[in-house]
Amino acid sequence: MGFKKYLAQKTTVYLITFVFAVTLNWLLPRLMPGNPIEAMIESNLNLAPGEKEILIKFYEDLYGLNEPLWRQFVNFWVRLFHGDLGYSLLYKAPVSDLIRNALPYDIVLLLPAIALSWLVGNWLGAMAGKNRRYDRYMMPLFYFLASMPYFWFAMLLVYFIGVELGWLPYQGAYDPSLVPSLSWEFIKSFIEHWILPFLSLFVVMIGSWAIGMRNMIIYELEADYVRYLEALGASEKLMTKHAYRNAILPQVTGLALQLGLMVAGAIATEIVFNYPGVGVLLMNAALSQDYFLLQGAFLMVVISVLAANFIIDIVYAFIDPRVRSSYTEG
Amino acid sequence: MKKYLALAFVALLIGSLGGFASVSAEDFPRSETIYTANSAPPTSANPFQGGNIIGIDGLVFEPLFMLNFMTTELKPWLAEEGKWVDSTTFEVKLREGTKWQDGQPLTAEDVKFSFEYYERLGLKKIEGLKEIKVVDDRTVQFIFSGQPNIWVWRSNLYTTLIIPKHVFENLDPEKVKTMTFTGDEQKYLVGSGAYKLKEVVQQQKSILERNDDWWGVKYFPKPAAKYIIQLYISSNDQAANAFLKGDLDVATYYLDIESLKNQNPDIVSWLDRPPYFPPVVPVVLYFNTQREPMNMPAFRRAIAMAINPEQIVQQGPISDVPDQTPLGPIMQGWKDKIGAKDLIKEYGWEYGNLQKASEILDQLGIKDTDGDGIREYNGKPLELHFVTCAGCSDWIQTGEIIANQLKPLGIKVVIDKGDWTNFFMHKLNTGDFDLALHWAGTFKADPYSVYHSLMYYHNETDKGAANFGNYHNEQVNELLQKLSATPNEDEQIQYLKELTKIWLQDVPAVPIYTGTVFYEANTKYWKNWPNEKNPYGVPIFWPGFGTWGTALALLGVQPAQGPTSTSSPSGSPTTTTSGGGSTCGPAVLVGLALIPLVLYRRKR
Repeated sequence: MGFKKYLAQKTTVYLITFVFAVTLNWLLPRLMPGNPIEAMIESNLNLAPGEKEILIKFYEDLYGLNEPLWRQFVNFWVRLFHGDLGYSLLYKAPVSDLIRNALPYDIVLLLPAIALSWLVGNWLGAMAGKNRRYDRYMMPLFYFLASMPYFWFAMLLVYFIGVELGWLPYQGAYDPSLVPSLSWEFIKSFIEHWILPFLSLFVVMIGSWAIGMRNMIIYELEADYVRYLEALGASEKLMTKHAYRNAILPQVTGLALQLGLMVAGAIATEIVFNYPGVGVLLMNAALSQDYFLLQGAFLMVVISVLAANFIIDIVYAFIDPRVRSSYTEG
Repeated sequence: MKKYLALAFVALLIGSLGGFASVSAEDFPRSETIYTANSAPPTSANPFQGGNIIGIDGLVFEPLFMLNFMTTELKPWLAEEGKWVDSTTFEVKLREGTKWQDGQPLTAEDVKFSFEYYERLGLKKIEGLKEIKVVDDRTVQFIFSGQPNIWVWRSNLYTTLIIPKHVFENLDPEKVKTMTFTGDEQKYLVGSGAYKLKEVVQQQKSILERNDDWWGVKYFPKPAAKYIIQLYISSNDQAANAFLKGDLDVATYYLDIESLKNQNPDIVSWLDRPPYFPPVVPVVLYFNTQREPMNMPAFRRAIAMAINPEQIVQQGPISDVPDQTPLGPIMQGWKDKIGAKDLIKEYGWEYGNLQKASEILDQLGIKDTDGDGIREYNGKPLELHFVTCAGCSDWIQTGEIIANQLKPLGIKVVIDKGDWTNFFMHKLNTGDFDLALHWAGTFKADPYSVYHSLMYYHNETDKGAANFGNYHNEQVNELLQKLSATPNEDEQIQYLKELTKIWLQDVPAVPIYTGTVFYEANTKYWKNWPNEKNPYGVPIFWPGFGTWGTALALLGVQPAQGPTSTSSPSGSPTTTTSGGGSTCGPAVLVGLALIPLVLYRRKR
């Protein structure tokens, strides 16, 4: 019974958060000063005399931006429930199509990078937390990796491995002369193009996971329950096992958040490698006040972050007995 | 457990690969393909508004006339000729044999339908157009109710794409506005042009394929390239790399041509001397003519004289030296006809003549009375505010040079920066500035539009689109009115002469430097790119400029080699290799991480 109540409670909280977050996402871009349509027309060089006014009216009608704000808000929710995310001001295409076409590239890039760096980082971090000698020379490396900006490491990879050595292609998601398909040629080209951007994310991420894990392990190994185990004469393996189970909890939360934010793309990496993803779309949308793309993309972020958190809440109930007992007893 | 995780990852990877649109792989032979690129991804092929694929206008759909923006001449395209048969009727005769890509004939009905369709969409409102009359299969008459503005009408001739009535009459204009014409909607993209849209790989590339059944081969040379592929390259650095490696044939990016040429001699631009890029139109320095002392023509003239464009071109942005008219190099034809050189000699000023400029200010009584090096006006030191946008580094640079040039004249220039829309354009539109740079008034396809946008003023709302300084002269309004009504070239030249004379005498704004557009082409696979000596096409490879002459350029290129020798040994030395090398990078990194672990285990 307790679990159902726990679920219901969580669902309500998440629903309220969802409505609130989506409303904010709708409102905030519109509070930015300036008028995206005028900016768009003004950047249009090839207009004849008198054409400007006609175009401004055309686009205001098209996007419904001449209606009062409350009306736009109602329209937004009505459309949302019809599954219509709107039509991008900047790219002149349905927002849902834009996101659908860009998202696979981000997922293929970010999911392995986040998950593998999490595994490797935690492993290295746990190792460092247990062994002082290893810790002494690995920690500076972790700090170096964690403080390294993504774009900087990515640019190093592009320059040295891509351009100077010419080992791997340095730009795009696949060869310019190909069209996506399920042929071996495309898959091979895709994987070749994938390695460098993947590495640029993977290597940098390892650092921060490892630091977090190392600190947690050290903290847990000092905890009373480990001292007690030690006094009982437990093996090192057993102590580590207990410490590890506790230390991994915050890391799981971190992983969930990272995975949730995945749909926002990796802006720096995408720019440096000219990789087609959501990040660059989002950046350009923000720069040109593309309300519709912004609210659509942030909607995806809200949904996926909430979903990730929701899943974590449930997973916690299984991996953390304290959480489990709190609802079964409560 | 770990095994399962690993398996799951592999499955996910393969699964997500399958998520891509599954289209069969295709080969685009390098020697038959032109690669171009844009800094925005191809997402929409909508021919009416905001399509972002180069060539939808001009190569797929065609206008009655093509504009060659580099010479501002019209080239009859679907139309054989077009002329004013009387003062209110413009008659267009179509060429013989025009047809759609689906085989249907392109007739006068389609022309009438197209112009009306643009109005139904709300994208055009042709003032005074009363009726479009189909005289016969190949003749259309546009009948106006009053005296039409012939220059505005001229722009409609090259901006209106002719669309097939038999396809679009079944399409609701309301829906068409937001269609992307890709995917399932691509079937409506039936043009008359030399190329068809083959495919849009969403947000990555678009592919145009030659229409081998084009009506135009009767009149124009057959297009050389079988495919035109537009890639999405967002940064200048990536574009430079692609040019160096020969992966890109032509594009519009801000690159350092000189250093590119050193690394790869195949790369060309418009000029074969600095600034290399095509100089197009002047960037002008506006005066707020409603503020003192800028309301005095003599004061404006003094400032114009103190400015030295040669220095700005040398030390400032990539540019060329302007003459004193707002008509750029693209209007050289017009300038020759109106005798701009003589007019400048007679009524113009002399750039960089500080001595003379000082004399003028002295005569106006604007003198430095307290000896601090700055002249006083009405008892206050003369301080002018130059507004610009914070991201416009070329304008900031120019503003600083101008400030330095005006300092010896005894005028202090303060540079105010802010964002484009809410600071800079806001200040320009509300008249809250003293000096400002802009090109909006000069980047036009005919001299009427330049003078109209820079000098027309009726009231605060009814004024030239780029008359930021609110320059007002009734004589100019009258001349513009007369110029807008006459198709007679001799009369046009007369009015343009007088407008130019007033510009030179009144100095509503000063041309500071001739701005360039960016342009680079690679002659490894394709030659005969348009340049200064052969300006047959327009070097602006942005979407939306197709009928301004980009289409002419893409139709005019020729293969650099015979079709047999596809691989050239003279390529750049660094080419992408795969295989052995590709695993090295990750292996080294994994190895580095493993070494300490191995050592650690051994010691225990």
